[in-house]
Amino acid sequence: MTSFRKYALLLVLILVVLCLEVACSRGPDLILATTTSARDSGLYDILLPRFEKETGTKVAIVAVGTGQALKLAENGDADLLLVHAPDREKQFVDNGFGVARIPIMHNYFIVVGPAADPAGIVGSPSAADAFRSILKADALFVSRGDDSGTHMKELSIWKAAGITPDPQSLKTYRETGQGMGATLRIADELSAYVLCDKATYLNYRSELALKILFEEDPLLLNPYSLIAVNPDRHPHVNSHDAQRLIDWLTSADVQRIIADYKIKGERLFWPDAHPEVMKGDQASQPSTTSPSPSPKPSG
Amino acid sequence: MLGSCLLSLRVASVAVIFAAILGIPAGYALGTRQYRGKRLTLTLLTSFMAFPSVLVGLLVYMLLSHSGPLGALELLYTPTAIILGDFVLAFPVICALSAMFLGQADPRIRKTALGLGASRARAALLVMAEKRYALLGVVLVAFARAVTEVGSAMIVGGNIAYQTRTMTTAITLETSGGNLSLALALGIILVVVVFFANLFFWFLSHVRSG
Amino acid sequence: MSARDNPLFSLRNVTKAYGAEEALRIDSLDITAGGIHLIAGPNGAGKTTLLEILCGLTEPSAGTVLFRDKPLFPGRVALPSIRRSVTMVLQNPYLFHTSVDRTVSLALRLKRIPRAQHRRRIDETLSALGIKHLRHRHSSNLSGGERQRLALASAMASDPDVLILDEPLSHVDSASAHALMVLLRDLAESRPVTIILSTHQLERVLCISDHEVYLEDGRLRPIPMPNLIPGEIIIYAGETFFVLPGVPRIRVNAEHSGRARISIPPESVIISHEPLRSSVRNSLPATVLTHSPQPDGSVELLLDAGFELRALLTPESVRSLSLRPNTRIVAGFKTSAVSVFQPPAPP
Repeated sequence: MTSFRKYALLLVLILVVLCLEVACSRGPDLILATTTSARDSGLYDILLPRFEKETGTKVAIVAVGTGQALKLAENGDADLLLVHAPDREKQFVDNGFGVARIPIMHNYFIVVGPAADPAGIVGSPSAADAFRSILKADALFVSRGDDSGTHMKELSIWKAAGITPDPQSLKTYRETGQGMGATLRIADELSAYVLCDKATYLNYRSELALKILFEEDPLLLNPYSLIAVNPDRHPHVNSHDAQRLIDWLTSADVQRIIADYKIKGERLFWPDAHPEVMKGDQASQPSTTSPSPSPKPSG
Repeated sequence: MLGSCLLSLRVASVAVIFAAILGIPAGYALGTRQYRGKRLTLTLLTSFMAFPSVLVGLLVYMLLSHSGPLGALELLYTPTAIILGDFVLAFPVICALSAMFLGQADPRIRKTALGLGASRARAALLVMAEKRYALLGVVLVAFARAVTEVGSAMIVGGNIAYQTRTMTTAITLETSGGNLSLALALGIILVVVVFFANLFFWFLSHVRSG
Repeated sequence: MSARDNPLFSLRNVTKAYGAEEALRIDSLDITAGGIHLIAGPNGAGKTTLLEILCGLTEPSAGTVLFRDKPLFPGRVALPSIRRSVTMVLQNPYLFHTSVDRTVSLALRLKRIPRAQHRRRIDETLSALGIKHLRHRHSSNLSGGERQRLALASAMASDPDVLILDEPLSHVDSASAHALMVLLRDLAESRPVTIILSTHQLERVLCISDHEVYLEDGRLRPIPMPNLIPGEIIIYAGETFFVLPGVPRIRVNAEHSGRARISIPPESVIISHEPLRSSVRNSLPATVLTHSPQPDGSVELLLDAGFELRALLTPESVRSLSLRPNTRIVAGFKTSAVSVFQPPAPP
C-alpha cells in the first residue's frame, strides 16, 4: 500500500514539526511555587512581567495548595516559595530544605457571613469570640478543610476559642476541600460564615451576598514569606535567579508597588520588607472602629 | 487563549500519535495470537482504559520530579511532561481497543496475505489496513481522552501561563476564579475544535476510500 | 514441461494435530514439478491443511517438508523461496477493500514485482480472466464468479512457479467452473507452472489433472476411481473410440478427440468365454490373473487386457465359468458404462 507509505511519511512530518516546536521554545528560568490565593490576587500579573523586563529572567508560577507547594519545593521541583503558612515554613527551613524565611508582605483574614448576622459577631472583642458566638448560635460555618494556609489559620482561631470542630459530629461545620473562591461560593449558597483572605473576597464581592462582619484581630494576620530552596539540598536549583527575585521583591521600589496594588480601591497587601514605604500614608493599618472597609487615602 | 488551544491540540496529537504507533501493533500482537493468560492480559488492559487521569498525573510527577528517577531530564512543567501523561492515558485505550478489533478481524485476511507471499509483518500491516476505519475510531477515542483530560496536565504541567496552560487547565483556572462564563466559553471552543479535528481525520480517511 | 530429477515438494512422516485431534498423517508424498496435481477427498479430510503446509502457512506438528530440496520444515530455510514462488488462493477467498486494479497491484507488490511491470501484468491477467472491464470496480461490488476470478488474478499476476488453489470450484456456478478448468489447463500447458488444487468432487476435476492423490481422515488412500486408464480418444467413422497401444479400440461416449483417461466400474464388466453379441459393444480378450474374495461375498477378478482391469463377480459366476488363473476370457462392457475424463475442448 503506497498510500500507506504516504500516510506514514505525512505522520512523521507532522510529528517532527510538533516536536521541533518544543525543542526550540525556551522554558522558564525560574519556577516559583506559590498558593492559589496569592495567584488569584492578581499581584503576580503586575510584578512578574516587570521583573522579566528589567532582568530578562522568565519566571513561571506554579500555583497549588500550600501543602503541595511545600512538597514541590521539598522535592526540588521549584526554585523558590512564596507561601503564607508560618509554622510549616519554619519547619521547612529547619529541615534544611529552605535557605531562610524572608517576609515580603501581609494582609488580613476576615470573617464574612450573611448580612443578617444570625450569630451576632459584629463588634466581637476577638476572632476567637466571634467563632464561639457562631458555634453557640448553631450557625453554619464553611471551612476550606484542605490544609491550606487559610485552613491552618482557621483552625488556630478555633483552638484559641477552645473548640475542636469536627465535621462529622458538628452538623453546622462543613468542609469543602477546595480553594478559596469555590469555598466562598459554597458559603454564599448556604448563607454560612467563612474565614477568608481579604484579597479573594474583594475579587468576588460583586457576586456574593456575604458581607464582612469581623476583621480586627492580630490573630487574623496573614503574613507571606519568600523562601529560596536550599541549593545544598538540591544543587540543580536556580538559586542565583531566586535570590535576584527575592532581592527585587524586597526592594523599596517594588515594595511600594505592592503597597499600591489595589482592587476596586481596596489595598490588598501591606509591605513587610520595607514597612517605611507606608510612612506618609494615613492609617496604614485598618482602624479598630470601622467594621466595614472605607475608602483609604491613596498613597 | 489561542495558545492554550494550540497547546491542547499539540500535546494531545503527539501523545496519541506515539500511542498509536506503539499501541496498534501491540494490540495486534495481543489480540490476534493465542497465548497463555490472554484473557487476563486483555482484561487488565481494558481496565487501564479507565485509569483516573489525576492518578496518572501523580505517577508521572513522581517519575519526573527532581526527587524521582528521571528528575535530571528537567521535564517537569514542560509540555513534554503533559505529552507523557497523555501518552500513558491514551496507550491503554488504543492497545485494548485495537486488540479487540484486530482480534475479531476475519482470519482469512491474514491467510490471504500470507498466501500471496507476504511476510508475517506485512500480513499484519495488511490486516491493520483492512481494519483502518475501526482503528481510526479507536485513535479518535484516544484523542478525545487525551485532549479533555485535566488531572494529569494540571499536576505535571503546572498550569503555567503561556507555557503549560492547556484548554482544560485554563477552564479549571477560570472556574476556580469565578469567571464561569469565560470558562464555559473556553469549554465550548474546545468541543468545537475537537469536533473539527475529528472531522478532519474522518475526511482524510475517506479521501482514499478505495 | 521439463522433467526434474527431484520432486518439487517432498513430504516424509508429516503429521498435523490441532490439540488432541490429528488432522493429517502422511507417510510419504512427492509432488513433481509441472502439470496439474489434484488433492481429492471428502470434506474435513485434511486437504486444506495439506495445502497450507505446502504454502508455508501452517507448520506441521512433525515430519519433514522439502521444497526444491531445501527444508521448509523443520528449519524454514525454504520459506523465502516459498514466499517468492508459491501463491495460494483460499477457499472462499478474502478480497481487499479496494478496487480490482489495486487488488492485483497489491498482490504484485507483495511479490516485489517492479512497479514498471504492474500495468502490463494487470492488463494481461485481468484480460485472461475476462474481468478487465471491471478494473475500477470496488471489490465489494462483484458477483461470486467475479470475486473468484479476481482472487485468481491476484494469484496469477506475478507468474508464480507454483499455484495452489483450495476448492476453486466449490463456490462458483457451472459455467464459471468450466471456464476455470479451461483456464487452468491452458495455464499448465503454456507456462512452466505447477498447479496444485484440492476438491471434494473428484470426477469433476479428473479431466484436467495429471496426478492425483486421495485423502481421507488425514491419510493417503488409493483413489476411489477404479480402472483408471490413460490413453487417447480418436474419432473414427463418426464415433469416438478410446485407444491404447496393444488394445482393441474401445467404444466410448466422448466430447472430442485428444488425450484422455477412462474409468470402467468393475461391476459393469461382464465375463464370458466367447464374445457376446448383445448390447455390450465392447469386448476385450483378457487373461485372468488372480481372483480374491471380497468382504461382502463377491469376488474381485484381476485381469490383463493389455492393461490392468478389475471386475466384480458373484461366486456362482466364478464357479460356473471356472475362472482359474491364466484362463483366457472375454471382458465386455457397455459403451455407456465407461466414464471419460478429458480436458475441456479448446475454444
